[in-house]
Amino acid sequence: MLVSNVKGVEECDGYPLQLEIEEMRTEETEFNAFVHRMLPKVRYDALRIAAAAAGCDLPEALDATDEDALRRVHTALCDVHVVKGALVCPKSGRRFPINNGIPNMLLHEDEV
Amino acid sequence: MLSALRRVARPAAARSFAAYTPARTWQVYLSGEIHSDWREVIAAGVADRELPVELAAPITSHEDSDDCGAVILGDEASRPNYDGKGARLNLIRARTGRQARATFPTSEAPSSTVVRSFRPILGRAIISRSALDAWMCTRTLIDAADVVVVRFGDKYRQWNAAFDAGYATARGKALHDPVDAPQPRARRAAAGTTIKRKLSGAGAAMPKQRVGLRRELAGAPRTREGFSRTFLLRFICEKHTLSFRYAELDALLAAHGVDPRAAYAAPAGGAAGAGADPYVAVAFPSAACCAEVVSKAILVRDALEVWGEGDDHAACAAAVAAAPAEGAAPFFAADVSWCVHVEGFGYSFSGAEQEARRGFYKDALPFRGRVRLKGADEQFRILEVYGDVNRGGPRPAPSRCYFGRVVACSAARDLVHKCDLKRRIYLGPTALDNELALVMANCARCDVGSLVLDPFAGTGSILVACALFGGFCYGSDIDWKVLRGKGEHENDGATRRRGMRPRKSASLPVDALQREDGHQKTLFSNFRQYGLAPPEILRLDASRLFDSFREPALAGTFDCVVSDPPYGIRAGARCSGAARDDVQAVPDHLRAGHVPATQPYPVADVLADLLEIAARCLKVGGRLAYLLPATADFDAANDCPAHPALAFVAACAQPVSAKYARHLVVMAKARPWGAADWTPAARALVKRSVDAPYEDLRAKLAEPAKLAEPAAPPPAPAPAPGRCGVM
Repeated sequence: MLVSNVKGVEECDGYPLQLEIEEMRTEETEFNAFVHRMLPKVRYDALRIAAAAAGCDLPEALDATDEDALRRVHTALCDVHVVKGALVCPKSGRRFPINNGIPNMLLHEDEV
Repeated sequence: MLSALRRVARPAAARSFAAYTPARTWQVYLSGEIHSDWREVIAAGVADRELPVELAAPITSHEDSDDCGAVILGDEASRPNYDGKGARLNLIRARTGRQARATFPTSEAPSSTVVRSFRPILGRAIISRSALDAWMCTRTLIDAADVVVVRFGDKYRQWNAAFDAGYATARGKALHDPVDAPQPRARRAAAGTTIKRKLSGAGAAMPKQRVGLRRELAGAPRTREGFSRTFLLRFICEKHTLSFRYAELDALLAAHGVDPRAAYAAPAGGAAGAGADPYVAVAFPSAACCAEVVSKAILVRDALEVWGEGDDHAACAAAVAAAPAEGAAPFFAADVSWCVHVEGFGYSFSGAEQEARRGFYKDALPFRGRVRLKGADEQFRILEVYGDVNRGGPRPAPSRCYFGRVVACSAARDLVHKCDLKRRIYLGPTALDNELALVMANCARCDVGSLVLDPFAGTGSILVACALFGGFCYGSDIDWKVLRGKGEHENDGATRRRGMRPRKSASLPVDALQREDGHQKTLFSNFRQYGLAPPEILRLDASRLFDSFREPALAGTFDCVVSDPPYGIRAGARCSGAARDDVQAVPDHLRAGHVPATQPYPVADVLADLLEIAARCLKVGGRLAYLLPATADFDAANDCPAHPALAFVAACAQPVSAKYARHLVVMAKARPWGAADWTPAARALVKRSVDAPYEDLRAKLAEPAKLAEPAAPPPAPAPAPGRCGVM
């Protein structure tokens, strides 16, 4: 969902941010309607790339009736937490660090 | 009643032990679960082999132990008194002369003493006084025992068993594992390990607890359908939440398909007719619907299905007798246990007075089931309403009497105690009062599966409240310190200053959670503490929220936006960018560790951004609920920031001090957001006037009070200390 907010980077170029993972944690949560709510909101191809970086294999094309695939999407969306790592803008190379599970999207004062 | 006291199996000639322990009788205390017959099995075995053993056990019948006080000493209307009588009577049993003075006088002690004295024992103070009394009395029996056997059952949490086992271990008693005892459905875990798990393993049990909470909320309504459609709701009567009750109830009614304008009985109820009256009559389509609403409400205590009402008890009883017989018949069946309580708001009734009132209704109610004062299948209530009278004097004659069936109690009310700030792991200086946060979640119509956004998350108090109602939480904040949390035991400093023992030593689950987080308390620790799924948190600048997201990702995604934005009273708002004009480029080699500069963020901009975020991120019909502190001259109709895409729903004021009040403002998204809403002209409309009552509040509060200004509305009394909260 996130896009690079660096000035001068067009929306379509600053997406998707590449995920670099140094440390991650998995916490299982119950499978529920959340996946159905969120799927229309995320770009599936981008999610798939990010999930691959986190070690989750998602099918190439998603069939909304396939429960097993949805469960894997749920795992990627809800259960996997990147504790430490970075999001990297594909255009400008700007790194947005992730610390303690919180991505830092804040810009430096000269980038505002 | 005081049954199952002591089973003595002292044989005349003890065969097997006689040779080497001729004069010794072993005292064995059997503690633990009470839902199977394991004590009887052991007693039978002891008797069969004629062992020189004296068995002792706690009272194993819940009802008997709870009700004995009220049955012998007379009934009590209020719960603490009722329990207190039972506890005092139970105490008789285990008091020996030596220890008569050693019992813990919890019935008389102020509650803080109870909590403090109790914390060193277990670190959890979630126990009623009567339970503590009862435990103190079993202590005598454990002290006297040579061997203590504790059995953990499969049902319930088994706190009492854990207390007993812990106490016995502390007294150096042998703890026997009941593995080899013949048991019907034994869980063969060693007693020692079970205790350990009970005390420290809260983390492991957490995910289940979350499901349990949901069920609690969903399963609270009774399924049995009533016949009356008029219900009398009783509010929680506390001064600091007085003004929020109708905003919350309206939101819940609307969420359950009941039109709030039509539901209230005369006089013109709703937020407009909001008074301090503790009761309100509401028409619901069914008892189940009423139960659903009430179980979710924070500020409603319970609901009564009105079977009859009248100006006095005789008229009311006549109305009850005239109630449709076929509708009431299921409640009179022989297998339905029942009880009738007498209630009058602000007054108590002696046993004789209660009996006199019950007398009126005797003929109207052909009950055939058993009376159970506690845990009855159906509870009924005789209610006296006194109208507008001066409290404190002798009880006046009732202005109206009601008889009804208790349909539901607020299950969500338990959440207020569950997420008490005093027990929360991670707090900041701006953590929001837990009760208010839950009310806000209800006003925003947060429900199971809702997507919730808080762009000024801070320590996440609001998100915790929304997650407790089953919402999926997204939060952001600019302040790294607040989001990330502080180092070790930051909360213990406060504990130590108050002269209490640090929480760390007593509270094992908290410690376990800290270890998990690498000795750091964070916003996530709070979610883990309550067994909630961790929220999605971002550190970003709320004034640039939209720069960081793909456009379709946010548009119309969220069901609720709930927030307590910074107003510069306790925490000043900041946004990205340097305050100086001559910004220098950050050298590349310093970029990784560079702390971005921030500049002050004017309150009008904070509000304009919050409304813009809500207008874009909410789905149509979704709700925004936020807090707005303002001086006494704040007029919700004119001064509230407005947005063309958002419709004003409600604003209710909570007096914080004589100088200012904070307002809970609720808005709903009325139409899809359009690009025309994000023009300078539209933004000026949102910001309204420069000198709004919420601008520069800190400076205004620092000004000396203006004396004798007749035009100003009289300042409402400040709420109880400690309830004011911060912002």
